[in-house]
Amino acid sequence: MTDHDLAPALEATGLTKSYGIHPALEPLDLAVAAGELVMLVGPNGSGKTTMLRMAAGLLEPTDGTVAIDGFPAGSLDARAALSYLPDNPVLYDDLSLVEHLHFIGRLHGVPADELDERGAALMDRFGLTHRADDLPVTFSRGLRQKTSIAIGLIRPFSVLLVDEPFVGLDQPGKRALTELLVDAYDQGATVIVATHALEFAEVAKRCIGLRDGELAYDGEASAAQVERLVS
Amino acid sequence: MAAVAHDPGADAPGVELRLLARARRRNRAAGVDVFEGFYQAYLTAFGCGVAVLLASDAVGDRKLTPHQMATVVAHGPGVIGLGVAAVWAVAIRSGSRGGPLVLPAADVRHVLLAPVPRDRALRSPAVRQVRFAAFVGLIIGAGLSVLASHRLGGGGVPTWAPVGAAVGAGVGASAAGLGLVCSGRRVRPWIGLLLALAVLGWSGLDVGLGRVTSPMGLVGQLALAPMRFRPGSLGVAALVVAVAVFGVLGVGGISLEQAERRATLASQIRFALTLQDLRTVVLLRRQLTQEQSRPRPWIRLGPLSAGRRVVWRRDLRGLTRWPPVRIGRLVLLGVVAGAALAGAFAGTTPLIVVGALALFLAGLEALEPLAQDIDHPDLPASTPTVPGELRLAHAPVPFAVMVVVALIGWATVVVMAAAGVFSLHLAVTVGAALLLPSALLGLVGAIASVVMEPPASGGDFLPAEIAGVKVVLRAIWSPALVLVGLIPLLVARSALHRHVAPGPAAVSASILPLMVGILGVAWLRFREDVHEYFSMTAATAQKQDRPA
Repeated sequence: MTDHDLAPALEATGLTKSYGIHPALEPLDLAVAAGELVMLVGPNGSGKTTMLRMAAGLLEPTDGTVAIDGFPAGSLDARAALSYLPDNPVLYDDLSLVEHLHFIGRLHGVPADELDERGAALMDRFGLTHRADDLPVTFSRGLRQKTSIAIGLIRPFSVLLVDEPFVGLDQPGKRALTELLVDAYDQGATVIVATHALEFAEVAKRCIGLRDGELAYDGEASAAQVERLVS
Repeated sequence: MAAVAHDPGADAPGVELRLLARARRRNRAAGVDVFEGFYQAYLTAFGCGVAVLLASDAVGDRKLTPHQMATVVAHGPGVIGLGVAAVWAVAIRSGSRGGPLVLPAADVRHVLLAPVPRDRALRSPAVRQVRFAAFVGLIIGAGLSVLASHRLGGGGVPTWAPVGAAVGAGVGASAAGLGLVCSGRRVRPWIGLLLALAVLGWSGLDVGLGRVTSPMGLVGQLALAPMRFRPGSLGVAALVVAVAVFGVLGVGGISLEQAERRATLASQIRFALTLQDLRTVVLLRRQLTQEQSRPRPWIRLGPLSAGRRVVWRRDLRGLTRWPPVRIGRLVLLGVVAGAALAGAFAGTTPLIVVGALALFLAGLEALEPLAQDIDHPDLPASTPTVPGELRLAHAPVPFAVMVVVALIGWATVVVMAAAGVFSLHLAVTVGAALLLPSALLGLVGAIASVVMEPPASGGDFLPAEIAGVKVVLRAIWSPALVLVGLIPLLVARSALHRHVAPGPAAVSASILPLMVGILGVAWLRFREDVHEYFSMTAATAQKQDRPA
């Protein structure tokens, strides 16, 4: 067993982000153990997205560090361990849905013989099968969101970071996504979901609340607690 | 998901990246009309050919005297080196802000976040960037050297064009390489600025001393090889290649934060360009370079008063929050305009276009408050004022800014004259006559661009040739207006050749541009009234034509 096997799935130490003179995240110390299902809440501008994007390696901390499975965020090993589902789907305009799943899956090292089966299962789960060969440029916001989620879930990961995943989804889509997130958790992945959806508190095991870029709460998730944190 | 095994033994990432790129190309190609592509290529080649012919004709001025030739041989490398330094400085600045690569946003999200070595993933785009920069440099270098061959002799076009093309390609490739080095090494913007200033300063020193001590000066020596070949200058080629190779190899270190910002803004800039919306391009470029207004103004102004002056004061407030970089850019545009117009007066006529473009860009910067009202039409529409009056009230402050820019240009010309480039008397008299027309028409050109409606989509059944001409006219109409303001310069030059006093000739010739300028400003005020008048006239004419 190596140090990395014992390391928390996500560990932030003095993590800080400022945009010019405006602080987005005050020094944050946080650890999420492997195999946790965490709900990240807070009002708009509280620093949720900033924190997740720094953990994904898309933003550089102004100060402090963040590590995934003990590897610095953005490093090759951290990227292999992590899947990040952003709040705004970004897709290629010139690749069909199935091509997205195929090529991005391959880039993440999914064996070729598993790709078709896994891709078909995910498309079926989100009702996307009949759009498999269409270009996402013709999709609605909700369909693009579903495509983005399918891309995020087709790859291997031990840590899943999800930012506002329910926005734009219909009820079956929300149900399917919740089931998939719980499935990932059941299979041992660490799942961190930033959301304003109160109902997610029913499945989350831990709630982390941010307010004005600072840690405001860290404890058990309950709808009442989440509502208080979000308001 | 979590249970899926990562397959490190799968095909090498390079293969996957190639397959991904191939699939994207195939899908894009499926949506392209081949004949339309050929037709666009034909129109572009035709347009470039016409431009080269016109430029060649325009520059067909007198050959330099032997004394002037000697001056070019002595000081030319330094001056060209300064131009190269400017290109390299821009590249360093761009690199320190994440440039010059502009990746698709999806590549940033999916490829750069995949467990694939980034240097491998970015190598191909980096090579393309260097290749493209080299190609652009080649075209510009060849074009400039053809123009130079008309006045400098030294073997004519067959000698100058290959040398110019090679030097241009080298400058382009090295600029891209420098940018890649800076972005790959994550050079901080302030360090990038210092490096850029150092490059410019070193080159400026070369010009001041009249000697070549910098690599930029060596590039200048190479560019003038048809006049005088110095074998030592060939050494700079190794530097150019090294920088390009080093840039490509080190590109994996780029910042994803900057790459993502560039990806988003660059796609918006491309869209704005397709609409020929220069104002939006200026705006997005500011966002790309993270240029923000100062939170604290340079000077604190009193509270806003009521009435029309409230618009002036709002405009002044915007001015007091300009960041230093924007002020610097305006000063630079003034200097470029002055130097280019001096060059045009001295005999290189095409430089008048450079001067006009500099004034046009300065006008776009100065017109910021009006442009913001045009960008957010709901805001002025919600005020109880006549739209034209509100727009007109926005004109005085930008005009004052343009006068300052023109004064900077004039001062540049006076300094050049004092350095012995040409007569001080000419610089003072002709410059004075140009001051108001150039400032006013610089502003009016920008006004024409900012208030221009986006091109109509659909319903325009013109033949392709006429539609193409219409598109070109739309694009050049606003900068061409600025050229009207520079007519006095050409009149003064012509007067000088006829041994007539150029100053008074320029003053007389400034009446027409001033009238055009006043009409342009009036267009701001009475735009809707004019549209309404023509609509009513057309409707009345239709009624009369209809059979009873």
